[in-house]
Amino acid sequence: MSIVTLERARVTPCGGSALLLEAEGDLTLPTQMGIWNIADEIRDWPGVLDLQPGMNNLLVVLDPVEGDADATAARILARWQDIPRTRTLGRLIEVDVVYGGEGGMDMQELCDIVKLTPAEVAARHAAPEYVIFAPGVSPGFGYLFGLDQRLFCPRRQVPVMRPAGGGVAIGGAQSNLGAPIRPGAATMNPTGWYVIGRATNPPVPFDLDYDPPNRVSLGDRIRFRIERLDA
Amino acid sequence: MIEIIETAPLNAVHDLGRLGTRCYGIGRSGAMDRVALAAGNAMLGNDANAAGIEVQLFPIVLRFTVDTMVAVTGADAGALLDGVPVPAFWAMPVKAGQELELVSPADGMRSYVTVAGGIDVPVVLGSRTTALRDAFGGFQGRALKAGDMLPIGAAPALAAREAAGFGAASPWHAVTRPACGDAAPDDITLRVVPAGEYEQYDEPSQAALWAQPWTVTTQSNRQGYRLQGDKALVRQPLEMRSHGIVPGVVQVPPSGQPIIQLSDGNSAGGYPKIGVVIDADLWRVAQAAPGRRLRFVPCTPALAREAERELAHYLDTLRRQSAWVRRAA
Amino acid sequence: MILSPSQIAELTALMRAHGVDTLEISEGADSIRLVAAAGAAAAPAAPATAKATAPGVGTFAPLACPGQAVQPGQVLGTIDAGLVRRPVTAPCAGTILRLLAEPGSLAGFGTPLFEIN
Repeated sequence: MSIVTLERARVTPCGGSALLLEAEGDLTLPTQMGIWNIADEIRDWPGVLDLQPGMNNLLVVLDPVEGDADATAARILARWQDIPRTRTLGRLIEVDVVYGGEGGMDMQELCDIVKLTPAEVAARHAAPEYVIFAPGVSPGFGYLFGLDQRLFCPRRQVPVMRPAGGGVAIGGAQSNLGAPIRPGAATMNPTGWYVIGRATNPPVPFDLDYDPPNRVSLGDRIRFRIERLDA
Repeated sequence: MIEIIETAPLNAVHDLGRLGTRCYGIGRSGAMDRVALAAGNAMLGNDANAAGIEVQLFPIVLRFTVDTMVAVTGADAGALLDGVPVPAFWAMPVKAGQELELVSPADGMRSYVTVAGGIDVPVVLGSRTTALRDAFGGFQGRALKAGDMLPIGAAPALAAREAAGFGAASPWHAVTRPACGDAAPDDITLRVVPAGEYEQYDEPSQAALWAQPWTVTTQSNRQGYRLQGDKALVRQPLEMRSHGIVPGVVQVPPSGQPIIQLSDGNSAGGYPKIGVVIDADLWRVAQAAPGRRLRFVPCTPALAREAERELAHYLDTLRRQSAWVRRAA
Repeated sequence: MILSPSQIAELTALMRAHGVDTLEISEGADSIRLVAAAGAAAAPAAPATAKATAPGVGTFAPLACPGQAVQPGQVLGTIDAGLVRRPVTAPCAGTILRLLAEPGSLAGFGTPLFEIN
């Protein structure tokens, strides 16, 4: 699987009023710390409406009238060169997972692609400590960094519907953990990722009764424990 | 209050959307045709971001429990006030007990009902827009259904100079259509800024992006529109790092047939993006029904800003001129 | 008085339509006697028509067309000035007979725009 890797950082337009900073080199934790640090600074720049760290990249949403995309792009790139790339990580969250079986319905498919047995996939997936790198597509645990390279697996060509709620999945070089289903929210989601297990005790990562509502933060760590491996 | 007497599914309360929540994995959402919503608010003298009802499936029947003033904008859905036809982009006083029905649009996709004072649902994370998938915001975090009673915000009592109200020139007439040499009159033309992966497409694909019409398929909704073109967009298969995406992003899945991500689209993704429809043209996409042809026109951030200024000028002028034909009741 | 001017006009139109030349109405102590002017009874029985007029100055844009049945107060067209469109409304229920001005022409306050049966 080839993953786009840039020799030099770049900032490209996302339409007329958003910019994407993409870091140079391999996907790493120090680079991501730089992304978090520069996001904290850019938040206060004039014309900036919203920010979203991705995997070694950062989306900057500008005011369509007030924001100056060209000038802001140059400023982001200049600041990126010397932004500090260190930061303290957050707390450790431990999550029990039943790998395979009904909750991890894509396990065998993934095994066929990466040429490992379900037991090997589970062991390799549960070995590292993951870091919450970036927010995901819904309120939850976001994109997790730390996946064993042997488990890298291209996303599906055509998205499939998979049950929400505690799913443990792999997509590209990333893993994720689905949040518990909130009352009234969708119970199935479209995804191009492979769901290999299901967390039995996922904590609630997002609760509107709190201000701010996020109960986990970028930089928090997650360790998966194999509760069981189902066929 | 506004009582929902009858409604098709998936109609919901929206304002211009949520900002500052991307850090939680929550996208902007908001009205698909933000210009139609803002035009209604301008006609009523509301805050530009006041919430209204987005109607994307028909019919819907509303009853007002108080005397107020309302506007119906966006697609002309053959609105009837107590059975009397209401023109497109129209604001009018209504009496308690009167019923407004939006029947079905002959052209366009989405209509908006705004009310003096706005729909006063609670502000959640800075917005009144409904986050349907995550079930919060709007009216109880869900689409509207019969029996719902929507609170109306406080507003000065308004009347129009004429009892029948007044109308507005729609943005289709008042805002410049993006120029595209050989587009058919019915084609919807959209300005697109080439995005990060544009250069990685082969030359025939780059040419096809601009040269061929892209037909809106039936797999099109608030999350995104799947398009179909004669020539697919070809590129070496590459796995991208996930990154934040904005409404308007033209993603190209492996099929080579593009998807425009829209208001309820995923806030992050990994498909390569060949370009991004500028914010100032997304309202046009919102009104493109399946079967309609889209044409893409190259654009730059600087030109996108000009287009945004033109929209702002339209809305400011409409707000000022509407005040002339409105008066305190 | 027991009749308003508009009621008198309505009765007069009915008298003409039916060839009646004298009509007496009384209510309590009040009474009224309507006499058609000489020759009026011989006029052809034309149906009563009404006109929808412009509410102000602007460009006339019709929304309704001849032959269309309309309800009182219905917006038949607009008078456009800048981005704002003011309504030309039907004064009564009926059927649109014809447009009295060209679409796109300039109208002023009171310009008759539609004739309604």
